[in-house]
Amino acid sequence: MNADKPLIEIKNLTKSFGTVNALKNISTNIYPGEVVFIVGPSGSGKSTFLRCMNRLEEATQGQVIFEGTNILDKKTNIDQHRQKMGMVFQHFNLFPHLTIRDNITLAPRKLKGVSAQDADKKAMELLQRVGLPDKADSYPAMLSGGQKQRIAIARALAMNPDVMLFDEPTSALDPEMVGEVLDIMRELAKGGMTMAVVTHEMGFAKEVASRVLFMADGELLEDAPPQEFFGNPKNPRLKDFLSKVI
Amino acid sequence: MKENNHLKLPRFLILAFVLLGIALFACPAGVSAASGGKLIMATNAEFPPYEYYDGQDIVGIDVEIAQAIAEEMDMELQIEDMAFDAIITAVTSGKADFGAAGMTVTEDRLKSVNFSDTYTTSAQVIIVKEDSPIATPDDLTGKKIGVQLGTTGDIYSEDIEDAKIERYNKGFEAVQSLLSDKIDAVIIDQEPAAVFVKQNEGLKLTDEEFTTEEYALAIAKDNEELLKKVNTALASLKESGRLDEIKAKYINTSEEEADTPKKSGGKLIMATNAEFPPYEYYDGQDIVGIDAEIAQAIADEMGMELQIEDMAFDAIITAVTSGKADFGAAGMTVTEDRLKSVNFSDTYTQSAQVIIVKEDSPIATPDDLTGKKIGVQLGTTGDIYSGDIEDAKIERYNKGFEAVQSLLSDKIDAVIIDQEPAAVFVSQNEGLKLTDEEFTSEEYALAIAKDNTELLENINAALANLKKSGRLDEIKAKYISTEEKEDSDTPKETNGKLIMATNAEFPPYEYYDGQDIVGIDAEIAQAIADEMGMELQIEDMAFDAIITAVTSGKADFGAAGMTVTEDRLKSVNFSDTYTTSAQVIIVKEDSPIATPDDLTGKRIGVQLGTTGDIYADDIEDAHIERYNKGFEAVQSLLSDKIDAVIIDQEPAAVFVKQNEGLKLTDEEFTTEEYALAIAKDNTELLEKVNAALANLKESGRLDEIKESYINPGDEKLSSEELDEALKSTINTEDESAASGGLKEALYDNLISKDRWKYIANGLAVTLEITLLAVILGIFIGFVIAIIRSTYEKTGNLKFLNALCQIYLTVIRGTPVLVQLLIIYYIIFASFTNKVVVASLAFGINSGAYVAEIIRGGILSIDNGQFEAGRSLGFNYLQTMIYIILPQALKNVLPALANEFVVLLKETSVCGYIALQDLTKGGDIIRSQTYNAYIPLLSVAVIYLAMVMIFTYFVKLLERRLRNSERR
Repeated sequence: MNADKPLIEIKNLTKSFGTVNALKNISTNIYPGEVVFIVGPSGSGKSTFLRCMNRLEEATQGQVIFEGTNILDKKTNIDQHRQKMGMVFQHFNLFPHLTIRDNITLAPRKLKGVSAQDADKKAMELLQRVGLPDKADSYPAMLSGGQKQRIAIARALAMNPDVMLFDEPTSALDPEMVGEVLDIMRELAKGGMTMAVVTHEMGFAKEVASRVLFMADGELLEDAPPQEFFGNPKNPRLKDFLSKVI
Repeated sequence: MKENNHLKLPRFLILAFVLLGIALFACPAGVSAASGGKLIMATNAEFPPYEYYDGQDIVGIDVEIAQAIAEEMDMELQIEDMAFDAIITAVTSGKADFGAAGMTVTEDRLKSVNFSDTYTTSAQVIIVKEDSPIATPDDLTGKKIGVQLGTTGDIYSEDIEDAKIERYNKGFEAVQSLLSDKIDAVIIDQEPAAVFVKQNEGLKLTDEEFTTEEYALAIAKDNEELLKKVNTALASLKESGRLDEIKAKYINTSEEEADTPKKSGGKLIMATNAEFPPYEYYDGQDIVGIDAEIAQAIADEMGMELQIEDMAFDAIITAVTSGKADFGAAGMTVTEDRLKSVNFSDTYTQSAQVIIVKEDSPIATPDDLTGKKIGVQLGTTGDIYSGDIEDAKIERYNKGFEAVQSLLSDKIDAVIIDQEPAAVFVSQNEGLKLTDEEFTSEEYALAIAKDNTELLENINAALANLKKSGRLDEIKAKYISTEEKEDSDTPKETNGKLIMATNAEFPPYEYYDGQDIVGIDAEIAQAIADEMGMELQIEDMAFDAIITAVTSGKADFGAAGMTVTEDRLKSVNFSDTYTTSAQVIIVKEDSPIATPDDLTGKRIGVQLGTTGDIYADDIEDAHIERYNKGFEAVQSLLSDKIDAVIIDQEPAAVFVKQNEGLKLTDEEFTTEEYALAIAKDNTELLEKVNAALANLKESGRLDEIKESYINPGDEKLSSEELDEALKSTINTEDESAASGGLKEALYDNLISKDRWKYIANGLAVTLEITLLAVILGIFIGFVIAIIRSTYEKTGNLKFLNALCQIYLTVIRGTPVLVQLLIIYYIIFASFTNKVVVASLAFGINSGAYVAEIIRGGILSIDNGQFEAGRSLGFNYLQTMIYIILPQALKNVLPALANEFVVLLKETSVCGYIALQDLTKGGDIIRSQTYNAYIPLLSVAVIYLAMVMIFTYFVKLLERRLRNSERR
């Protein structure tokens, strides 16, 4: 679909926990500006797949080539590449001992040597962007779940990543808070951010995705644009899955 | 005024006692014999080769040495033969100038006479395997050691710490066990040891001997002039080689010579089995031992020549019955079976183990013990034999009376114990009896052919004579007990400073006067340092730490009113004595205790590690309470917690003077001599100190020092210290004056003589140590917690994690006090900054606890925090530092604060390495004012205040950290 060089090339990615194969020989590319959604039933390996992309999970075999470097190579300094790969977790994982401002500015200041002033400025911009400029001096414990997840997105964006990984960002939220998080993500996608999203929000996927992947039992079974994925599913497992969730 | 009058009377009484004592002591000195051109030697001419009759003349090693000495002194020697136990009396009463009778230097004898330099030596040595790490007697600690039952080695090996002693009937059995690695070392006489080592490959002797026995000449205490002359003469005999010549003449060629002179009444043939030391064994080519000597003595009595035949044990009786031998002597017990074949002489040695039971007990014979619970005293014959009783459950007690108490309370069914103490126990405890049949009895006698009644009579007569003269006991004693002394030469340098270890709680020998340690010992040490042109530095520490300080090199010598004891001689050398003192008994004025014998069964207070402590153990049934300080014992006596206090004479006088209602018993407990303790390898210092002491004695300076403290010192002490003691007594006794008394007590304990400085300086030390230890503890704790949790999270750092595990196990598994002592005395033995050493010890200790607390904190943090940090690009350590640890610390802050509170209080044990911290500061005041309340409560209040202040700040910090949790 895209003639550009892929941002992330995933080649034959395999991950096993003991005798269980969580990922079976998965290969796909993510191109710059693409918004790739990964869906599938629980335990299908989609979170593991996402976490292997920034090596929070160590793959057993295969390559993840990010901006030309195989980041699964033991010799690669993964910490440097992770700075370019923002991640948003299901449970937000904000740092409870730090204010919202410090949550956002910690990494830029400590890792990029950004001055406190510049970092604060950037943090305020991001807070503006996620609609929470008045929360800068609050602590995470004072925020609602949706607010926390918006801060978590802001925290990841503060490092100016080239790709954003979302690991079920709305699954832990009360339903009334899902919308505010999806709004932010929609804005991000429109802004041209390359994104990989693991989610159960099928409607959101249909609306925002440039490509949807279906995984079951650790295998990548379908890889198609959303119209085709939802309109004309080929794999019987996908058909079965879609019939249950929609 | 009233109080002063009150006190004057006892003070005069004591002075009178002291004068009386001096007068009594001086009496025999006045009668001392001035023998002019004659030198009278007292001996007991039944101890070949040292002294024995050759025809009408007394000859032997001692005689020849005495002769040589007399020649050196240009005097005429006259020898007086007497019972062995009359020799010392002869010397002290002036009937003889000196005693020479193969006499070992013992403490008991030293109380009556002086001894010359030793002129002959025999040793107990250590046999080990060639690859053994054991090189010195000290290495025997905690080892399995084989000894031969009843030998000197057996007796002394008891004192080896933690050692497991295996007692063998025969020396070669012990050696066999050593060869088969069942034991680590064998302690045995020098001569058989040489044979064993020669005959068995893979064995060697350690370089350092276990003990050595030394013979010396006894000379009256007041006759120092003769002592010097004799020593000079001995020295020149040693130098000229004449001494060795004399010994060689008797010891090497003795067989030939001893055989020739005596042909008088024919030959007396003894059958024996020379494998049963100490009764009979080979010493080189000769059969020696108790039996051999007894037989020799009998032969001498009978005017016959002894010939010893060695054979199998079971061939002895046949040899006697067949006439091949005249008699058998082989540690042989009289049994019915043997009595069928031979007659036995009177027994010449015996001992029985008996059975104590309750009066209503069904146990009547040793056979009834099967399946019963039996109490024995650890390591006794009863212990050994009781192992053979079928199905019996053996309870081993440290002391006989403990076993008896258990019997009385029905915890056990019977006690097996030596005959003599058993008799005492039974007479003292109603409801107990001895069984009619003894458990075992060992009686040794000589076997003589049935038809040879003449010989039997002769032998019995000879034995009777030997018993009467004491010769029999002497022979046994010779094989069964000894003295010891050791030396090795590695002189040590001290750079201008002479460090003295003492325990400044022992007036008038050493005590605090304001901020300074003063006293007799301090002045003598100063005088010695002056003589040696060195600077004296005094270190105050616990009494029982002094010898360790000297051996570990922390101090050059110890001076603390320290008595020369055998145990201490194992660790250090002692200088010549500089003062003689007695251990006395303090009791309440209405106490029935009047003599040391009355102490039996009483509760007795002693100061830990002092002579009184050591000797008090020997008091039957007494309950010994060990106090760190003498005055604590006195306080307990005053409050009726104990019945008597055994303590040195001089402080006792002070205590009695200062506390109404106390008195000394008329009879002293023991008398003893004080000397300076010096490391064994520091013979150079020993010599210098002895030379300096000699100078001080000669110049009269020594007496001056003593007098300044003991006679006029009474007044000096009493005017101030006495008033204080009085005031404190009033405080406790006169409640109506409580408020005024409290004020005065506070003044005396805290204001007077700037005593608050002890507490202030101590507080500074405590804070310094705590602060340094906390910093070190936090550092160690963090490093280890990170290593351990990294290993747990990632599996990396396996080796470091294992090291940390060992550290945690060791530190958390041993008491902090033991760690402190190990670090001070072993690891940093040469390092003298005690604050740093203590901080290290407490920091290293605290680190282990901090590590586990922090690790717990790290584990309590959700893994999502870790992933969030890593996903932002933080590396492992950065994630720890910026994200995990701040949260973990907040969670563990209460536990961490608790650890530091504990640490602050734990530092109070650093007084053990003689650091003057807060607790020790209070102790020093307590030792000066004899007031327990004010110093202890002040110290407690200060600790409490520090902890409360600290807790307050921790609470503030906690509240701040909880900010983030507000909702």
